[in-house]
Amino acid sequence: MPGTLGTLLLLGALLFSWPAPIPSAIVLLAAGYAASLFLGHPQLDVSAPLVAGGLVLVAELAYLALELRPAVAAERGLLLRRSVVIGALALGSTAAGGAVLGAGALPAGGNLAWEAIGVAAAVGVVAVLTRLAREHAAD
Amino acid sequence: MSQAVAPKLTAYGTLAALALLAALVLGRAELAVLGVPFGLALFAGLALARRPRLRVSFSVEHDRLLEGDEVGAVLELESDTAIEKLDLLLVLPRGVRIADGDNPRALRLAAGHPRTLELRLALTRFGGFLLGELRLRARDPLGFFVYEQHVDGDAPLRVYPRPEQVRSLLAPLETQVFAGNQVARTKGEGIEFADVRQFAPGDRIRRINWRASARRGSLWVTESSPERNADVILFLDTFAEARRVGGEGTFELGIRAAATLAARYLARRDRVGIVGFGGVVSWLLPASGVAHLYRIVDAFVQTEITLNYAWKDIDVIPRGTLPAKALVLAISPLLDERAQAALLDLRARGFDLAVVEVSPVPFTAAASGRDEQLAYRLWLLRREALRARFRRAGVPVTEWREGVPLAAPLEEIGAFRRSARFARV
Repeated sequence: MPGTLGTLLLLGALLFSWPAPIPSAIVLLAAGYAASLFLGHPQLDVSAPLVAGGLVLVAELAYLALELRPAVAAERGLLLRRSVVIGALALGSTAAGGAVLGAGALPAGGNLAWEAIGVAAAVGVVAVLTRLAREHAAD
Repeated sequence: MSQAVAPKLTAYGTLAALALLAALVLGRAELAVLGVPFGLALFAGLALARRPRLRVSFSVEHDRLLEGDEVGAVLELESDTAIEKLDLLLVLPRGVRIADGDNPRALRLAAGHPRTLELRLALTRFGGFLLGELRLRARDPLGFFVYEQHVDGDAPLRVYPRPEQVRSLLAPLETQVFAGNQVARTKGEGIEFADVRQFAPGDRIRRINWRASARRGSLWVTESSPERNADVILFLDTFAEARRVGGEGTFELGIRAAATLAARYLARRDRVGIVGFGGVVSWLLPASGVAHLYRIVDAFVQTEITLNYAWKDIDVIPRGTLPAKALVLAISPLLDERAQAALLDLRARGFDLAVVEVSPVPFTAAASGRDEQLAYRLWLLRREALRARFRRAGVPVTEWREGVPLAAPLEEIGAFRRSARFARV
């Protein structure tokens, strides 16, 4: 049900050239997948990275579709390059998702070292993102 | 370039955070995996995005052209950083359109590699333009940031009105004292034969007409008419116009006619002045020469219809603008009462006046419905009555319609003036 709603919302966003509902549509699509996890997959679902790659591909293509409106004469290769970037992002995301899933499958076992690595990784990601965001704000 | 965050950046950040939160709350690692691509995209987008520094220059092949011509334009772009997608819009004024090339267009700009874009512009209307106004929009490789820049135009282009067909010009009733190509009505030193008369003391020997003298048995001399120039004032009514939606109107026709007449009168060494009588009053004192022709045409291409409800009469025109004995040639759609009153006032002050009425009728929509048709017929009758009023005042008025050579109304005015004995002033 959430998946269907998400699809309809996405179609509406594309139809009316309105980017605001796209994140909600992605959330609903993800919610549909999450519901299926609780209903049919008690174990770790190894197809999650593929679903993640698919979701980012849907979001990227939806934003690209809106970005291309109104139609502007584009030089040859421009769209192809963008498509390659989007494809690479989807593939890279799938690979990264697989790595995360693999890390999630490791037995944590209440080891303090693992906890410390996890916390350091989270803090590191936030720090890097904050620094990048600051650089762009200063531009 | 100014920087703005695309909605996608916020959306991806929110999606990644939501996925991680849901994974923590629900205890499923798969949900964290769903957030990874969005976080990764965000990370890559922030790392790759650089604010572009763009240098733009725009130039046109020529800066003075005629209506209907085409001109080549060159746009050069260079950026310090690579721009994956640059949307480019060349803002064109009314009267200029793209003849060859894409506008708007999207392109990729490599860092440090200048790009040259060539366009052909078709000039469909006269005017003074400042070309090169650009709107630029660049995006980073993943579309998280939008960079925009507005470049003002700095390439001046003057498009002169195309000439109308004229065979002969309207001769003024009186000429001025300076030498020109116009045969004066008075007698004096010149080469054009005027008359013969009996010899009088003081006449030069070389003026004696020996053939007439031999026939009549006494000395007769040839009289001649001097070649003089004339003062012509082109009176352009800029109060109101009739125009097709998105197309041309009476104003464009009037400007073309005025520019053609100015060029032709100046070519025969007359002095030409202009009066733009409308919401904004403009004028040029009568003068002659090629430089003055450029001044006149430059003034015409900058003339516009300016809406104004203030009453104006000819007292607002500076005194020297309308010299005595000048031929005032008015070009008007006769739509505004102020212009009509001013023209009749000029006639009452003794000016030699003729009116070329640029007909607004072809520019009006066809009447539909009984009431509209009645109103339309009444309007046409009122226009006919107005023409009759001018003619009664001794002012020739001829209707000039789009597609008809300008020679036709001028010939009609000439015919009216030849039979001016019927006119009551």
